[in-house]
Amino acid sequence: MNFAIIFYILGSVIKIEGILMLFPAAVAGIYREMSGMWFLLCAAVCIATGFLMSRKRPENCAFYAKEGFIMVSLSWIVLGLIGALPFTLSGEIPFYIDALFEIISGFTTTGSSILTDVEALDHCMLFWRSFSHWIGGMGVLVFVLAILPLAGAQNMYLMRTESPGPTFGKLVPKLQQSALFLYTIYFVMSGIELLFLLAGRMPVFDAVCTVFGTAGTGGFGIKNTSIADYSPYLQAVITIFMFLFGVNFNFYFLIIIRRVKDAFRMEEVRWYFFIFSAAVLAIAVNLTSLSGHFISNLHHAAFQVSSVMTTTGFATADFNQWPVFSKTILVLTMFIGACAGSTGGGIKVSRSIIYIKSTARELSMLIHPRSVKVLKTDGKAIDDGVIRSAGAFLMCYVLVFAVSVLLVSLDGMDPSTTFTAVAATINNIGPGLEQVGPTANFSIFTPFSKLVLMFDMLAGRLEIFPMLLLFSPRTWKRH
Amino acid sequence: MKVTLDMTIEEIVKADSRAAGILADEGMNCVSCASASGESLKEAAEGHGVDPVMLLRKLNFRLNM
Repeated sequence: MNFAIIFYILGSVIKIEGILMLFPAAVAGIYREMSGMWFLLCAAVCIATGFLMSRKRPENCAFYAKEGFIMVSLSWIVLGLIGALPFTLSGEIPFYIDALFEIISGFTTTGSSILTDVEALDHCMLFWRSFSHWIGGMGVLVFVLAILPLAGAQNMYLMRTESPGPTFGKLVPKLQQSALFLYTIYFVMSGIELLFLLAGRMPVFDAVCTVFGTAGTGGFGIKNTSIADYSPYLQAVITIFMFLFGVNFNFYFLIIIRRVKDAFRMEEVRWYFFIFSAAVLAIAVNLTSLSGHFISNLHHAAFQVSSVMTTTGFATADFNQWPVFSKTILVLTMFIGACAGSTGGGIKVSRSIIYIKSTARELSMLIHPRSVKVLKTDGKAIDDGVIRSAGAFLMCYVLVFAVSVLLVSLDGMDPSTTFTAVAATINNIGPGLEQVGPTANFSIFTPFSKLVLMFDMLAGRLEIFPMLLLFSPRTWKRH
Repeated sequence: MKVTLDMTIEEIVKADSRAAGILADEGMNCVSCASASGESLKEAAEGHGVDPVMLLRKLNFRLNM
């Protein structure tokens, strides 16, 4: 284990977090909010500390899978521990565990909140909450890699750990170029959404925070009613952009380099669109069979499916009141999640495709035991290592899920609340059902359960393995 | 319709009759109460031990559907 490089990169991450804290401090200046001074103080300490830690590059810069996993886990934990300080120091969220829950929910782009009255927060605090989604969306470490002159193939381990999905293929040969491409697409799409929201007369502050929540598929709103109070036009814009941010970013890259046919042939994207469409239609029909107009129900169904499937978590309706069939569809899409290589969470559409094809192959081999079937996606054979890894991911996911439900159940909530609280956090969605539904929050849980749910948020965002490896003694051995 | 904490129960229910059912779910059978025209939503919620902000969220969410 190369502790020196971990220390060095952690220092860079802390330094960057300090710089990022200057943005909410600037917002506090605009709105003349005294609580902004805590961001200035924290920024100064972070920049100084980070500078000292990363002042001298270690002689041995080599890091591989083990260092990559630990780097990522520790960085996200440190980001949360520091990021919570302005909330607590200012008194806006006085209990540190609550502040930690809120900011980890922000950085992991979950969007679960312990706040009852969101609108009571200062603008700078609301900004920091939403900004953490945008930062977390693409992964701070990918950002660090894009700008730090650490050359060599070692960076692949860090980027692979950070990037969501079962496979990570470089868009272009140079890793830093790949990261820059991803960031460019991310920034441009965020800018386009901002323009559409401003065109719909959304106030600037609201629009900026909404873009942060959409791009990062996080879902922290700045209103107590999330997106429900905004116009149908604005809700439609947000629906479309949530969907777009849930698409594999390779799709956009292929379009940019004019391989449009290849882009639309991407199996995962086609499945993503199909699942989305089917879910929206089924819910709209189900809602209309009971009450309301089809178009209005279609609008709300599209918003909620887009929100839940991409694991954003914005709401325009209290889907807790929907019929069981519609709620079940939403819960299923929670687990499927968005595409790999997007900012969305969940198990990912590409893994779901692998599971379905593997299962079909196994069933086929029961009948034809001597047959040889190669699993393919996008016309290419899926490597056995990828299939094995996807299987291991699912087992670890189920294990973490089961243990988390067991631990959170100690709070004595009803089964639906307990189950969906864990589902909402490990899939980085935000709201669940019943007492953690879209009109409620996570303040009902004890500090212990909040810690469990924070672990789930981090595990979900980092795709399970990095968080589990923290607990393995072999990980920490020097050699 | 956007509900606010300073609206009276009577005003809210008159604007949207569905509000009566939402209030009843929280144990607030306000429609038949004499205080409906005089008490604000905030006062009524606090009187029934219900978090006013949480109730406001539920009302605004469900009445916008």
